[in-house]
Amino acid sequence: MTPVTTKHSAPPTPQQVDEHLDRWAVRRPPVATAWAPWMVLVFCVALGVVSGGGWALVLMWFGLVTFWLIVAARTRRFRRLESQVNAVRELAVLRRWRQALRTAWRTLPSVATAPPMHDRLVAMMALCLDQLGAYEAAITAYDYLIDRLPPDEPIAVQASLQRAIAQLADNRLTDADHAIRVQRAQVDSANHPVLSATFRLAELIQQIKTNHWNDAARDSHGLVDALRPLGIDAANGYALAALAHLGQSDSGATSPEQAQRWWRRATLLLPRAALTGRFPELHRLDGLQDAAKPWAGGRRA
Amino acid sequence: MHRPVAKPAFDPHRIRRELTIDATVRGTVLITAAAAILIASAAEPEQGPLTWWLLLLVVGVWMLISGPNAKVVRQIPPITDMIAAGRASAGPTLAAAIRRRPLVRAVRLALYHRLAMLRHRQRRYAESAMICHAVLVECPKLSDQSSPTPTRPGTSAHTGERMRIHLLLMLVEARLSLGDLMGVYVTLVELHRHKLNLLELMQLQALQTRYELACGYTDRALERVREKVRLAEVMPVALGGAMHAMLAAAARQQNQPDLAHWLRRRTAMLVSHEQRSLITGLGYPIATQAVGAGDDRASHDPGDRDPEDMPYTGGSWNT
Repeated sequence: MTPVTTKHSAPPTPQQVDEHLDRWAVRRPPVATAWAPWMVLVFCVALGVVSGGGWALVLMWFGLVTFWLIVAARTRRFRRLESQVNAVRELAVLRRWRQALRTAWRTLPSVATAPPMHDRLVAMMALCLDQLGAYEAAITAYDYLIDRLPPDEPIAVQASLQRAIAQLADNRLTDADHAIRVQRAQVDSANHPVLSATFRLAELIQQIKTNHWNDAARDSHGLVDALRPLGIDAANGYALAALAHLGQSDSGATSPEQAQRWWRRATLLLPRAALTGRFPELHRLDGLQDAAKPWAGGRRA
Repeated sequence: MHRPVAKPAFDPHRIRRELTIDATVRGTVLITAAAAILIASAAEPEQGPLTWWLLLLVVGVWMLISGPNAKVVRQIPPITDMIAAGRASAGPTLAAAIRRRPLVRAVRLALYHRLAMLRHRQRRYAESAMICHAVLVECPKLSDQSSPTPTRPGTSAHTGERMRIHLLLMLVEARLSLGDLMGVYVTLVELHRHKLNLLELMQLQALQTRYELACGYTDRALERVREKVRLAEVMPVALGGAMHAMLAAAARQQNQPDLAHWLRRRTAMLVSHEQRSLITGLGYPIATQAVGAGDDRASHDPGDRDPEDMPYTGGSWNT
């Protein structure tokens, strides 16, 4: 297996991700393994019926018990794997990206024969890589996932949008533009708040990356309601809106107070370091004041 | 003048009665099967066909009584999805599944667990509390609750423990809604004996904060407030918003205006005006929230108003 990253090392490269996903791709369990318990059962029962009485009867019961034990063991194994996948998910929810990535990487080989769990793990690996700034590797993982999933599934739409965001971060603007155009109709038809919010964020990032700051500033009307389903991650959108307003304030199209207002909203939810870490262009807002924190160390706006 | 006595919505003895019927039917078949096997084993070799007919009969009857069980087991995940999505078909489907018998004990209890979830989602808290309590009485307890040895994932004990924890969480919320604070305390004590996963921990945190507010223990609600806020940040959005709103109410009562103001502003950023009305009006079910599910209700754009400027009425339940 490709060695996984340690705590202080860099995240895996796109090639490593590709190799790992290729090596542990979803596969059907061998036919013999899948049907073994049924074959044991049928053989023993047939033997019992044909031979009749005595040892044949004992053998039949032995076969039944073996069948039951194998099925029970498989169920237990499946549930154990599910609990491992849930553990990865919990780490991701707690934003322990490195730990989540490491655990997902190690668990992937065990779930190669369980497609739904495999997909969930790849999705979480992609998210972790994305959050760790390994955009190319994240795009590789998203590509793998999107190829596997039916295009209309909400998880596939979400993965496509996340991939578009990673592409924007990686300055692959043409690819991202195509993805955003393609997903627009599906997001509209899905009518899912989280999908709509992710799409709105992707559009906003695109506007900033392509220097359409005036559009970004103009479209910031109702942005809070649009991004709210993202929770504290909506702060990224508010910070970008602040950047757009600041850029436009030079031409007099908007006021610096607007930029300060959006920045205060952003830093109300996420610290400055987290925002600038995700979008280095936000360093242009170093002059703006953060939202006040109620405990020591916070700065009053 | 006699007022008509209202029929209880749920008879708590019903679960015990149905479990007994299930056990009797299954036990009878098991004993008959054992007897048939014994007779078949003791039979003379020349009576071969009779022996095999007897065994086939046992297998046939066994399959007949296992049929409903297998069918219901397959129905449980869709029923859970229907309840989560708030579909009206959940009730009739669940009722039809409950009517089937005989069922294995764990399956019967899982169905009643779903019934408790349904009533909880419908905010019929009295009935939900009654069902939760009745199922908890029948649910297998951990052998020794003083030694919190985690159950191994994949075992039936683990599944049973997860169901038990969810029932306890719903019971806490139902009792909170009914104003039974002593009952809430007892249930919270039992919940603290279990090893909880992340979602359960989040729900417990939110429910315990609500309990502390209801009792007026606002100082306790604000203990380790930074850790609580950090946890609220990773909660499902609406649950996180509810947690922020409760902490804001506690901070206001503890005369910490800066903290209260900061929490209120964050609440306004996290949840919409409609959601806030639900939270403050106690219509927000905490115990049936799922991590990562987001919020299914569409966010209504209230126009061009700044959310931080919207009227806020947080914390009405603790006054």
